[in-house]
Amino acid sequence: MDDDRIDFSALDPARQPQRWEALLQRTVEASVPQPEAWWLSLGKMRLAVVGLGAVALLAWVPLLLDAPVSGSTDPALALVQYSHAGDLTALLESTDGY
Amino acid sequence: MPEPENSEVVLRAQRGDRKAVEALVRRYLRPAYLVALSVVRVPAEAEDVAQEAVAMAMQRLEDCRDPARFSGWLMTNVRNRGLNRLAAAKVRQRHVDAVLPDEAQDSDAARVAVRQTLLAALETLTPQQREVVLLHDLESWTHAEIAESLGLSEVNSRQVLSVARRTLRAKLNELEGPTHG
Repeated sequence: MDDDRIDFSALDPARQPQRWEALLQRTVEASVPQPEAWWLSLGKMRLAVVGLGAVALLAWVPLLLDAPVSGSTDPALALVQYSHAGDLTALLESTDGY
Repeated sequence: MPEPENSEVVLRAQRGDRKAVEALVRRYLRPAYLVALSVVRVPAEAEDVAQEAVAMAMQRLEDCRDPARFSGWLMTNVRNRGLNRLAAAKVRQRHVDAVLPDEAQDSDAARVAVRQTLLAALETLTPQQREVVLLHDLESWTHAEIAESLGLSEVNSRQVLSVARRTLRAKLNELEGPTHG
């Protein structure tokens, strides 16, 4: 040890152990990034979410334009009707004869 | 400070190892407090500055490009934060009465008196002298460690310590009689 040392122990922050430990713990907690809530992550990705939604909408438009004309029968519904009542005509119409 | 495994702990902390972060905080919060105290000169403010600067530095560990010089990098962060706090002039307002709430938690009247005397004597030193004498005499850092933290040579660190002690002893003798040193 250095005999010329000045005694600064009165300034030692650790002289109050409980208080110092609490400060240490608070600093540790503030030093480690907390895991982010999923909705906050989604919020940060909102531009990407909106973009993906727009792409999905644009991809859907051609399908709407190619939708079957009114009067056509839903093939699934026709198949159910055929299985219940033997309605072969409706089934053939729904598949346009294929 | 630079213990042999220090760089390894810093590298682990940079990879997100929570235990390594905690080890660094436990190792460096007290020296960070002393550096902050050297700048702001008010214990309560120094605690705030040290806590904020250490936490901020830990969250930006990737900015520390040379883990072997972690202590110098961290103490520079603490010093700058302390200077910013001073510039914001918050300290000056709290300076007069800051001792009271802090001291209220210390029931030992004699120790409070010694503490106030030491703080008053430290006022006579430059921030660099305060930093050197506190890190050396209270935190037991070597001159090599202090030199790295302040960007000095070891010889310079010894000289600063010598002058700081001489100045402090003179002031302490003046304040309370020849009981110190």
